[in-house]
This record gives sequence, structure tokens and C-alpha cells, in this order.
Amino acid sequence: MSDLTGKTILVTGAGAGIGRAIAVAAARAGAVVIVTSHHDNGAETAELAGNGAQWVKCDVTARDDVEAAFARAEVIHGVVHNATSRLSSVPAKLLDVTREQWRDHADVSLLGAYHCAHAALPRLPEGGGRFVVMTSPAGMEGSPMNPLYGVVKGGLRGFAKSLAREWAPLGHTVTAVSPLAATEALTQAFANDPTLEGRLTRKVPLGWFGDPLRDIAPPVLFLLSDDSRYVTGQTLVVDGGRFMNL
Amino acid sequence: MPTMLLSGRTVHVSGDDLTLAHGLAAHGAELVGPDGPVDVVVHVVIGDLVEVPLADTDPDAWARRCDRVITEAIDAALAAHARMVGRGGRIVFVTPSFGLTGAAGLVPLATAAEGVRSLAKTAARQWGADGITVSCVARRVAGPEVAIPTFGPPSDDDVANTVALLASEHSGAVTGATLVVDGGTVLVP
Repeated sequence: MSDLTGKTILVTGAGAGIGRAIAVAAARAGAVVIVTSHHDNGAETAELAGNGAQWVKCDVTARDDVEAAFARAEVIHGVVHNATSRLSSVPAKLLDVTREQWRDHADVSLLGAYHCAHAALPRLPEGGGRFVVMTSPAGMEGSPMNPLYGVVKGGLRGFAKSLAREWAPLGHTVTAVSPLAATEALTQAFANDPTLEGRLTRKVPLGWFGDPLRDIAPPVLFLLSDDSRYVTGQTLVVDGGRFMNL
Repeated sequence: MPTMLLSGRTVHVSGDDLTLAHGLAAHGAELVGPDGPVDVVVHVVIGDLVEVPLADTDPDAWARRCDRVITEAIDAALAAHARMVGRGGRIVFVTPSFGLTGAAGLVPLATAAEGVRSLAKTAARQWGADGITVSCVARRVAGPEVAIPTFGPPSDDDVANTVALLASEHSGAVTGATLVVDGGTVLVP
């Protein structure tokens, strides 16, 4: 596991699932973690993480909330923007999407990324900040189930690449991670569509869905660590080999 | 005289991209307005190309330079679908290729461009059964790209010819795809 001793890491959407796993793993790797979540479950994440982790209730769509969360530390070495609309696991047809649904998806994923980047820049350490956005297979190959989720996750890849170029002269890296994990959201999706689990498992060469703590978090920690200083603008696909189209 | 890829096909080009519209007309397209049944809808992603660091971008500018660009594309896709119900058709998004390569100072528009490419893939998946294909042409936009094209920068005709191909019957099994028209700058993996 990559060493994050002495680093402060902020994770959005860390109340459950992959965000919680990243927060816990980062703390185990030595980081002091600022756990942010819209819901109160972030308090439990901070407790699980330990090592001085603190929870900040934060709506990433609200600039003041984000600024207040980042203000918890003078220097923040790494940021993981994981927060995603709660609508992301609800199947939808593109023909039926509403402007309200767009607002929710776009504000959490895209406006949230913008707010986080804005708040992070003055606090990233000189010549070595890390900014990671969580994207999705839906952002690379479209989503047959959730069109707006696919749009914002694709948008985040554009965000990461361009911000990587913009921040490269400062020595900061910006990367994206596309995970395939057995999360509560996926479990919910399986409940909504009983045939989905079998269909999806057959598409994963390694034959299983990643465990958030054991399979997804470690590559994210690498991207947060000093070891990844020459990696920027990339999407790291952590999905058991499901997507090999690059 | 170019091959008449679009003879007998009705084409609506969004926005005021007269250059592209004329380029498609040269392929035999019958240009039509925003109403009624149509064979092809081309939506050009237009955005502010002034380079501004993200740190100097305020929330209003983010909304204008990113969010609005995507919602316009979603609206264009939905409007196109409504015009193609029961007859099928082709939707082509024209995006700036710096969405693929990344561009400092253009984070909001690059985010939107990649969002639109993802929209095209999702629409392609959901609307294939309706006989509608949805694809993208990522064109090189002068200015922000860092690499030198191996084949020289593309002309307006190069862009129009590629859009015409995707809009024609000669690209039957192509959907959800992006053709990069940049003279060999990106060379996607």
C-alpha cells in the first residue's frame, strides 16, 4: 500500500461505499483524512478511519460548504472528489430525463469538482498536490441505464485532463479513476434489475466485482502518493479488466 | 465535385454554423429548419474559447461555459429524437478535439465536450433500437492544442466531409463513435 504518512487527504462523498473505503484506507496508510459527506454517515466513516480523521458535513454543490471543509487544514496534499448524485443508481431513459435530474447530477459531480478544485488550489503543497476525480465506465462507454450519470462522469474525464494541463506547471497532478466495485449503489441496481448481476459478472474477465477497500482504494492511494508524481491527466481503470478499449 | 453522400436527405444544422451547413449542402443535403421530420441533425458544440484559469473562473462563468453547453446538447438530442420517431435518423455532434487532449484555460468547455461525447454514447445505446445512430466529430480548433498535426490542420471541408459521412447511409454500423478530424494531432489509442 502506498505510504501517505504526514499527508492530509480530503475525500468528498465519503459517507459510504467507495468514498468511505478510500477514506479508511488513506487513514490506514498514514494520512489525516478530512471526511466530507452530505449525510451524517460521514461521522461513522471518520470513526472507522481513525488517525485523527474528522468529519465535515458538506454539500459539494454549495461553495461555502466546500470552502469551509477545505478550511479545516492549511495544507491539503490530496483531494478525492467522489461525491455523486443519489440518482446515479436509479435507471432512467434519456427521453424521460428532467432538468431537475440534470441539476442534481451536474451540480454534485461537475460543479462539485469545480468547487473542490477552486478550494484546493491555494492549499495544495508547492510542487506536489494531488487531485483525483472518480469517474465510471459509464463515462467512457456511455450508460445504457443512466444517461445523465454517463454524461457527468464523461465530463469529469475532460475536467481531469484539462486541469492536469493547467496545473502541470505547478507540479500538481490531476487524475481520474474508473472503478467497478460491489457497492451499495450496485447492490441497489441489482435489486432493480435481477438479471443485471449475472450479465455484468460475465463481462468482467477476472470474474468478480472489486471490493472497495481491498481492490479500489489501493490504486487511488497510489495516485495520492508521491510515487505517482509522473502520472497526470490519466484515467486509471480499476475494473477487473472489463474495459480494455483504450 | 465531392461524392453526393447526402442526396435526398434532410439535414438540420443547429446554431449558425453556415460554413458547415454549406459543406453539407455540397454533399446534396436538403437543409431544413428546426421543425418537422428530418433524417439528420447536426449539433455543433459552441463555447467560449477565451482561455481562463479555473481559479479565475467564477460560478456564473462555469454555468455558462460548461453546464449550458451540455444542456444545449441534451436538448438538441431530445429534439432530434422527436423528429426521428418511427423513421430513424442520424445525430452528429461536432465537438472541439481538445476535450480529448485536455487544454489549460479551457477546463469548463473541455468538461462539456467530454460530457457531450459521453451523451452521444449513451444516446447511441438507448436509441439504436429506434434506428437512430449518434456519433461525434471531434474537430481541431485553432489555438489551444499543444501538438503539431502530422497532416496539417483540417480545413472546413475536411470537417464537413466527415460529418457528411457519419450523416450518410455509408456509415450504417457506426454509432456512439468519435471520428477525430485534426490532421493527426490526437491519434487516440
